Amino acid sequence: MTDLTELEDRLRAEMDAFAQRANPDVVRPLRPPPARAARQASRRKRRWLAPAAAAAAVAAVIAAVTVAVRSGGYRQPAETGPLPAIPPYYLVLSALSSGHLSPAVLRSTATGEILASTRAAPLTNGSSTMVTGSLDGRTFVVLDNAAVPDKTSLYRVRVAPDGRSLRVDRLPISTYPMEVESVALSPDGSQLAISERSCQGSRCQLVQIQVRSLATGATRNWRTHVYGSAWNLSWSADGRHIGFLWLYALKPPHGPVPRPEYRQVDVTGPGDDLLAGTAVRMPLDSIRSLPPPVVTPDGRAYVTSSLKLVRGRDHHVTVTAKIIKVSARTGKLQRVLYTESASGVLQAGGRTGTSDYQYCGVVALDRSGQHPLVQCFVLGRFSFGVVAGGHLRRLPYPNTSCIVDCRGPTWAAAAW
Amino acid sequence: MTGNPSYVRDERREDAASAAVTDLFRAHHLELVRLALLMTGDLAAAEDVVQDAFEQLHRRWPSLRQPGSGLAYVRSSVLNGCRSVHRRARVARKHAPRLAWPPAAGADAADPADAVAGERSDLIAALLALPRRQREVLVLRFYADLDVAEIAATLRIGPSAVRSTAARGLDALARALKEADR
Repeated sequence: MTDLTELEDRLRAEMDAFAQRANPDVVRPLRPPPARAARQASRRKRRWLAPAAAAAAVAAVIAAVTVAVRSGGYRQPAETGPLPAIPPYYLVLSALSSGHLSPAVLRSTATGEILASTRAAPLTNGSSTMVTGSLDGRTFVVLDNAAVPDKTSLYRVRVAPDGRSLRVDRLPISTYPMEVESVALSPDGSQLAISERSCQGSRCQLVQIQVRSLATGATRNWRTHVYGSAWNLSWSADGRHIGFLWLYALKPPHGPVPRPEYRQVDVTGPGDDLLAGTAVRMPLDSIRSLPPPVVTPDGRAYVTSSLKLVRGRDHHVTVTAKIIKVSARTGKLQRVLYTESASGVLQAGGRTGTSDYQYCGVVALDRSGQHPLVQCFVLGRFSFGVVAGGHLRRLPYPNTSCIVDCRGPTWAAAAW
Repeated sequence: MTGNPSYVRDERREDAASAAVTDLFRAHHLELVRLALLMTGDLAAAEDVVQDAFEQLHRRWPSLRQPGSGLAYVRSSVLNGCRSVHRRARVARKHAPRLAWPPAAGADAADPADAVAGERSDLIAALLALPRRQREVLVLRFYADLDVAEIAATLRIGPSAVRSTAARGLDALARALKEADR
C-alpha cells in the first residue's frame, strides 16, 4: 500500500475535492462546552444541593457540550450557561363541551406543577383558539378567534418574575377584515407573526404573514395572491426565519391539488413574496393528519410528525406516530426523535376514534431544537410532554380524548 | 473529615472531560465531517453522525483507557454511525415501492447517497458503490492518511485484512473506471 499508483493519486485528489463540500461555511456549527465562568457560576449555585442533584447538573452540562441529547431520559437543563434551554413554563387553555372556557393555567415544565392561573379565561369566543409563547417562557399570546373576522382578539399573558402570577392584557391589534389563521410569538417575545387571508364570499384574494412589533406596532408583510393558506407558523430560535405549512386551495389546470408544503420566509429583511423561499413537500405519511412543521433553531430543518395506519385482520389497525426531523432544503428525513405506536380497533363513536382522529404533532420546540413539546392521540391513548433522548416525559394536560358525550374537556391548547 | 465530597470530584472530572472533548472537537470536527461525507455521500447525515460520535465520546470519556485514544474512539464511532446510515437507507429503499404516492425524483430520495447523485465524479461514484468495508479502508488510507496499523485498530481487523481489502477495493475501482470509460 505504500507504492503510489496513478489510481491512488487520483483517488486522493478526488476524495479531497469531494470532501471540500463540507466547508466551515456550510457545516452546521456544533456548540462547544460552556464558558468556564458560566460553569463556575452554575456550580456555585448547585453547591448546596445534594450529591444526587449535582450528578443531574453534570448530566445537563454534558448536554451543552454535545448539543444533542439523544440518549437517556429527560433532564432539566441547568439555569445558567448556554445550554439548550427548555422554557420553564407552559400555558394551557381548555374548554368543556358545555362551551365553558377554563382560566389559563401556567405549569412548570420541570415538574408539571400548577404555578399560576388567570381569574377568567383570556378569551371570549373559543371557537378556534391557539396559544403561542416566547422561548424564555415569560410571555404568551392567545388568539381568540371567531367565525366572524371582526370578533377576533389577541391577548398577551405575561408571567411575573417569580412565576407565581399572570397578567393578561388585550393587544391593540385589529386584524379585520383579514381572517386570522395562525399566530406565533417571536423567541424574544417582541414580535408577533400573524397568518391571515383576505376573503370575499368563497374566494380569497390575498394571503399574508404579517410580522408586527408589539412595542411600536410597526409591520412587515410577506404576501401572495396564490389561493391557499399558511398554517402553523413557527419562529426559528434565532428569530431569522418563520416556518409554516402551506396548503394549496385550487387544482392546477391539469392534475390534482399539489401536496401540502413546508415553507419558510426570511424575516431579517423587508417584506417580500410569501412563496419566494424554498418549499419542500410534506412527507406522505403526514398527509392524513397535516401536522405542523416547527422550524429548527438554524432554519435548516423542520421538526414535524408522521402517522401511519396499517390495517390487519379483524378490523385491527396498528397506528405508528413519529416525531421526525426533515431537511428544509430537500424534505428528506434526517432523524426520528420519537415513536409511539398502538394496536387495536378503531371505533367511529368511541374513545379510540376514527382513522382521521389519530394524531401526533409538535406544539413547540426548545432553543436547542432537540426537545419538542408534543401532543399525541393514538388509538385512545392521549399523551402530552417533552421528547428527549427518544422518550416522552409526560406532563399534565387536559385529557381531551373524549369524542362523544363528554364530561371532561373537549378542547385544549398549550404552548411554551 | 478531609477531601472533597464525591459530587465535587465528579464535577472536576467532568470539567476535564469537557475540556479534552472540546479540544478534540475544535481540532478534528471538520475533518471527521468530511470523512463521514465520503462514507455516506450526504452532508446532513455526515453532520449528524459526527455530532452523535462526539456526544458518545463525552459520555465514555471517563472509561477511556488512554487519554490519547479519543480521536481513534471518535473516528470509530463515526464509521459505526455511517454504517447505521446505510442500514437505514437500505430499509427505506426496501419499503419505498410500497408508497401509494410516488415521490418526485430527488426530493424524497431514500438513499442519502442519492442526494448528491450526478454531482460526483465517476471515481467517487464508484467509491460510494463499493462494499462498505472496502470503502472504509480506502477512505481511511487515502483520505485520512492512516497507516495499516491505525486502520486495523480503527476497524478492529487484522493488518493483513486491511491490505487485502485495500487491494480488492482499488481493483474494483479500476474495473469500475474502465467500464465507465467504455
